[in-house]
Amino acid sequence: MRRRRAVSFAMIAAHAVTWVLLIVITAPVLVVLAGAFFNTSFLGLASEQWATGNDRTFLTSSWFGYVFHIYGGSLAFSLGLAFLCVGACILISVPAAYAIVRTHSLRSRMLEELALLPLSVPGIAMSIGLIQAYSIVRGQWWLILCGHLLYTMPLMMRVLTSALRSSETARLEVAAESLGASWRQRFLFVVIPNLRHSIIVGSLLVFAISWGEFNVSFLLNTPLHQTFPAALYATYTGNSFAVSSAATTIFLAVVVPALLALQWIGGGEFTRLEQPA
Amino acid sequence: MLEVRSLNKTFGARHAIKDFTHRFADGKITTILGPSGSGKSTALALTAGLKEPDSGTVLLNGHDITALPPERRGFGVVFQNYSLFPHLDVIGNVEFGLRVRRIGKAERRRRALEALKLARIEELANRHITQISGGEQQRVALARAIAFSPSILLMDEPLSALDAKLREELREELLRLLATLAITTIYVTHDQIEAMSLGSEMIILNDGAIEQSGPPAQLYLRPANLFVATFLGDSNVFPAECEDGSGGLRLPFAAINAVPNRNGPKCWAMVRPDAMELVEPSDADFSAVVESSTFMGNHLRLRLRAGSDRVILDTQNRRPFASDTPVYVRIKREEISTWPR
Repeated sequence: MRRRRAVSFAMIAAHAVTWVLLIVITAPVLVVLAGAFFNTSFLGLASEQWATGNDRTFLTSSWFGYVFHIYGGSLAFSLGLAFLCVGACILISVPAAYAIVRTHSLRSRMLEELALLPLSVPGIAMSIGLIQAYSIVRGQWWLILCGHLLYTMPLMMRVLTSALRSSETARLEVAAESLGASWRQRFLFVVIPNLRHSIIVGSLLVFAISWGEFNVSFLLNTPLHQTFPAALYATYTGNSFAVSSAATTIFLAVVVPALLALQWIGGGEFTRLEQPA
Repeated sequence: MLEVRSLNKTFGARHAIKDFTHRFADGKITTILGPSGSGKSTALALTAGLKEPDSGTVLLNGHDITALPPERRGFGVVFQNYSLFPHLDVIGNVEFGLRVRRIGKAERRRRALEALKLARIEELANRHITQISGGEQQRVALARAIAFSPSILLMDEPLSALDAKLREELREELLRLLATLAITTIYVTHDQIEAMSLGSEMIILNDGAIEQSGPPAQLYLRPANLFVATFLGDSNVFPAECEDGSGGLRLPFAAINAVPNRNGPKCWAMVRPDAMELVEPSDADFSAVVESSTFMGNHLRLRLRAGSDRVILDTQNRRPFASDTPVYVRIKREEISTWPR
């Protein structure tokens, strides 16, 4: 009886701690959401007062209109950049990871380590390096893309090499080989279909990282090619809380579904990421 | 006709396959049997081209195919873990070998259904691989391997993942199917019953080398050496002395006449548990006492003590024997094997 009471007390305590933590973590998000949707004109005139006009309702979407109007270009640029990043990562990483895993040589292992190296370099150092090395093309949008790829490609490679190193894929390849499949047929008909899950997980990861990348974007962006995280920073420094909240809400509205999808389908990949190759 | 000559394979310092030479009987099943780590699967992989030999040749109808990649050998392989493609359904798996050979869709479907019918699983054609049982997966793997009419079928312990009852059922079906197809088959197994019941010829592999090959009955009744005698089935092995001229054999606990083998004065003698019978004292080669008796279903296994030696004897007499019961034993002369010691 005493033991049962102790167990139930422990359960209540655990639930209480969990709820407190949840509230602490979600409170800033809730404040941001409130700031983005509530009409705060009763606080006085803000610089963006024009956005709310004569709207006297409690809830408003006007701050979003303002953000889309001023930062719509950055939003579109960042979305495009994230999708391009995903496409480039798939096109380069899938064959590269396959070649690295199936070529059992010192050179391929070194190449893999080299591909993972950018993850250990601070973003600011990477950006300065890119600016110094490619000053002649500074201001080009694709230099920002290259910066994003340097950070996202290693993650995509890691997800794919882990999947390819699983004995299951190797076994299926041997089976396909025994059935008469050439190298190309094995890659197209067996490897890629069986990597589908890892490709989706890697793509979501790449999208989320590219969408939220700030260091490289901030240092490489130009007035013409400003990414949304850089625009977000601009709202924090130059706009009202309501506008920066609306911008943050838009940012979250894009990244949260990607992260939820990752959580939903990508458990295995994250576990594998933690294991040595 | 498939033939392998002097195949050798090393993995680091380990010599996995040593001078593997054999001519496989056309249209028959050859089983390769050996203990774990004896090189059975490696021998199969070398034959299939899935592993490259360090030396030696693989000949198909007289042509050297050693350098030919596996996809161009036209061999069907059934793997121990089946290796079915999880992204395809049953028919998709069976069609795979035909698809990579660029066979037209209609013809592909017809031949795949035919293979499924032979494997008696045509009703599973549209099922997903995860929706079928282990036994059904084994049949799909078999159907996939035979669908493109391979010249040789290689099977690597295909029944080992199944339970005993299902394994027995499938073994019978496999025998029927392979007899229908009359395809040269190499079948690797560690199950002695499977090896003996399926194979018209059997190879015993130990530590990468062939110990003996031939019809299963010959290997069982006339093992070439002590390893085969002790590995294949149960056996009683004793140090013995062969007497010149007289044909006598002196065991530690009995003197036996008219033994056909001659191997010098000192030899090993092997007698299977079922090569001895309980007889009247006047007909016996030796007397012993029962240490224990175990009911084995279709026979009784007696553990006997003869002098200081222990002997295992199987008898159809199923009445239990009490411990220390004296018994009289006669050894069937034609089933005694001897080797030099």
